[in-house]
Amino acid sequence: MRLGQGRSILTADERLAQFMAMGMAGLLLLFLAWPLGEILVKALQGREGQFIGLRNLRELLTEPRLLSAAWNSFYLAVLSTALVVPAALVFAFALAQSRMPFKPVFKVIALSPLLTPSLMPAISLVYLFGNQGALKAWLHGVPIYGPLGIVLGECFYTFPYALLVLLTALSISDARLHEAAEVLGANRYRRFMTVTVPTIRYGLTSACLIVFTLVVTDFGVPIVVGGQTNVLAMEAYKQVLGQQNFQKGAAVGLVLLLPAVLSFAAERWLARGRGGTFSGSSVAYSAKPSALRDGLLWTLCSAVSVFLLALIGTAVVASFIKLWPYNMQLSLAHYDFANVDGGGWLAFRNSLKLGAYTAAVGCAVIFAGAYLAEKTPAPKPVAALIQSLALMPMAVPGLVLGLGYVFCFNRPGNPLHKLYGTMAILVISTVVHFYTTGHMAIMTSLRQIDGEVESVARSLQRPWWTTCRRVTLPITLPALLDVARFLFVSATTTVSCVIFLYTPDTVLASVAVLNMDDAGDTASAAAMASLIVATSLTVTLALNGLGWLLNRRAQAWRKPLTA
Amino acid sequence: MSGFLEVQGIVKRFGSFTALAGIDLRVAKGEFLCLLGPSGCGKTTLLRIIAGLEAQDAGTVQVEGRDISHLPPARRDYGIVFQNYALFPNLNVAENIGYGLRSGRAARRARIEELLALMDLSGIERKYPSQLSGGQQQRVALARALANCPGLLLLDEPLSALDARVRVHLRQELKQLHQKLGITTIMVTHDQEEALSLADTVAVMDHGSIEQVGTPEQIYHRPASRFVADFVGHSNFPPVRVRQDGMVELAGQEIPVLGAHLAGNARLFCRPEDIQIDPPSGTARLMALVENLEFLGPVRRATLRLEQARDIVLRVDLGAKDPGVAAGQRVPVGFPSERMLLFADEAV
Repeated sequence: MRLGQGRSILTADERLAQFMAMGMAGLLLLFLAWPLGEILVKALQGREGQFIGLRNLRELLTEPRLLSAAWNSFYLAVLSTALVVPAALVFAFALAQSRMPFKPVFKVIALSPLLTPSLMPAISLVYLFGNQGALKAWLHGVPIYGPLGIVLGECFYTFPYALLVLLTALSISDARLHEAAEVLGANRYRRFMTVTVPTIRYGLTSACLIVFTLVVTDFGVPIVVGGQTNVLAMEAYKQVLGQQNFQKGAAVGLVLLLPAVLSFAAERWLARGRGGTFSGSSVAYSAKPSALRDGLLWTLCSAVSVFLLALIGTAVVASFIKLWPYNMQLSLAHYDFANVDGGGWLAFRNSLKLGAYTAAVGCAVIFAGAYLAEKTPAPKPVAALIQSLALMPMAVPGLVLGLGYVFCFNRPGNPLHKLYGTMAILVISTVVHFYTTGHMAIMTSLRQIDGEVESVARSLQRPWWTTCRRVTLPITLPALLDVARFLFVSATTTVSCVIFLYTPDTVLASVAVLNMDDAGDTASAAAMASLIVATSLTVTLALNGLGWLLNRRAQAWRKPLTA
Repeated sequence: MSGFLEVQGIVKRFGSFTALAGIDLRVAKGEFLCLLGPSGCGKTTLLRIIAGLEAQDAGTVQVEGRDISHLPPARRDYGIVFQNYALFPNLNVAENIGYGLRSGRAARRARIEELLALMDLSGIERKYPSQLSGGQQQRVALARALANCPGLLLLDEPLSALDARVRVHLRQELKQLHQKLGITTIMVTHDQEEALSLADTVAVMDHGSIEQVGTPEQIYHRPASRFVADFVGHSNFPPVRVRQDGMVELAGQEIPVLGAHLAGNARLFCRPEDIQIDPPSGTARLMALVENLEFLGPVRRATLRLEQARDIVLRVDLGAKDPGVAAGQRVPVGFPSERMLLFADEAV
């Protein structure tokens, strides 16, 4: 029996893997590429669905309201980036290359915004500096509602993202380079400029791009403290949910997609050919003590930490107070959501469900996709398709993805219309929304396993699922736990994508925060936000604990891998 | 002798690069064959094609007359050991060895015990790969490859990740193991010493083709091409002239060479240990100046410059029993005809 030259007959299990890989690619096309395509189509349509070409976009450019919104989005994003990135750089430098005391504590504080919905800092800002704010006098009459509030809130929200990127960039700095520079007689300043700066240039650029994109596409903060300041993200939200003008919403969505896609492309472009920097033989840099440097950094990090803690803490504290600032008695009244709109405990329970389902489904799907594309003889084009589709969600703001889902699955003719309004579509959209981060984590972990392991297993006549179950999965488990934690926390805190997809039955806690705040029930919103933070914190601690236990059990074989 | 494994016309291209340009190879049952060559010569690609891990663009692979060219690895019946062993890091030694065994629990247990004893691994069956030395890991990989009693054993640079002393030791063990089990073995290596000491047959490869197939002795003493002569061992290639009458002249002196067939300018192939200092009478001799002596332990390597042709430099190995010479001394050197070969004069 002979097939075409250059091709081999596959065993039954390998053929199954091929079908599964094709299925995976199909799912990604269905739930990622299709909704995004719908946005494109919708943006070129008039209100009646007729084709009008670029008129929506042209109108966008001539409407002064939208133009000013675009300008606001732009300059607020630039301003936030200019504030966040230097602060994050100092913080990252302190964590990676100093002997500053209490580093782990600082790190936990710095990453804590990841556990909060993006509306939370805005609510805290209102409590601190709003009309009845405790510290309103500090602002000397400048209102917190508007550019100031937006920038402060966005700084809080984007800080951990910038920090993580810069921290990675700084930690890959090779100690031997520092030593070589020192031996050659370079002083501290010269070493910083010639060794540290070049290694982080890429990280710095990518941090700027990430922060800029996050700010432009976020609408949680502006909606609470934006006041009269209109931004593009809010505009898309209002066009669709307020005025039911899907076509114009799609056009705004397209405009929002622009910075994300551009920065994503720029990042990819910068990343090309950078494999060599992450050499496995690098020696970790450990700084020598320096009282002046460490003291200075400690002070700066403390200042940033106080800012971050204040924006979480204020909302938490306020949620326990009867009537801020008039009646400062402690009370649990705001946690009884019976008398406010927004969904109350149902929303909270739904969020828990969404988090759990997203974590479970997401881990399974993301692992399957990465595994099939990387470790099985999947057809090359299919594997490439999975790999490139998996990177796409990173470049798509949640808001835009959510719009795409509305356009795609809210259309009665769509055979999957039944999904609309269910918990399932919330889970699917959330998994897709956060797919890239999970995919990259699993991929990194899979690539650390010697590729020949699969070859050996095949020569030993074992089907791939045996190898997957006995070898690959156990090795990837810590990464999977990390992804599960990330998906759960993201699912409970996100608003941007699900805001277009929830129904009264599937209302979510993060959406409830938004709606309660909108209705003026700020204290209840703060209470709900605090519940979200408490939940994500608990889940994070639980999964970290589980990871620690697993790691201890596996220490016998894992130890030298981490050494 | 009919081939157990027959490779015919194997071609493999990666884009515009031809990794294998029509390979024909025959391995007899029980034979130990080494694919020897510099990195990039295609030897590993050939092994991977035989293993079914890479698909050839043309050509066939047959085992005992059965065409396996397009079978998946699982149906080809071989065991394989990779350079880095590719042990399952989260499984212990016994689990690694037993991974491919599908017999009942008791039978599997017995087979694992047998392999542990065979590979001298008893006592460490509960350890994990990362807790083993390089040599132990290599033996575990070998035991795992042999577990299913495959008809063919493929070794991809199995010794190159080890340090020199362990490597020599394991080389001997590998040889003994092969003699004991008689399993047909193909090993890829770039280490000529390894190939010469282990193999029944060596296939020297360069630029995607096989340059020569032969016993280690043939490869070493009768290399088929200048490349083989150069790649395996050390050699001298002084320029010579082949006269009309077939006599070979080195620096004006007639040198008898067996089977000389070239004409005009050529190169004389002579190993450092084959050139004699102070040769017995009757051998053609040339006077040379000892320029330098290098002490290499068991031998001393002398650098000689011919007096009649000062641009010709020869390296000659002196054993412990050879006459003592010193730098600056003039010595007669001889070229035993049965050890000399001629190659065309081309740039290397």
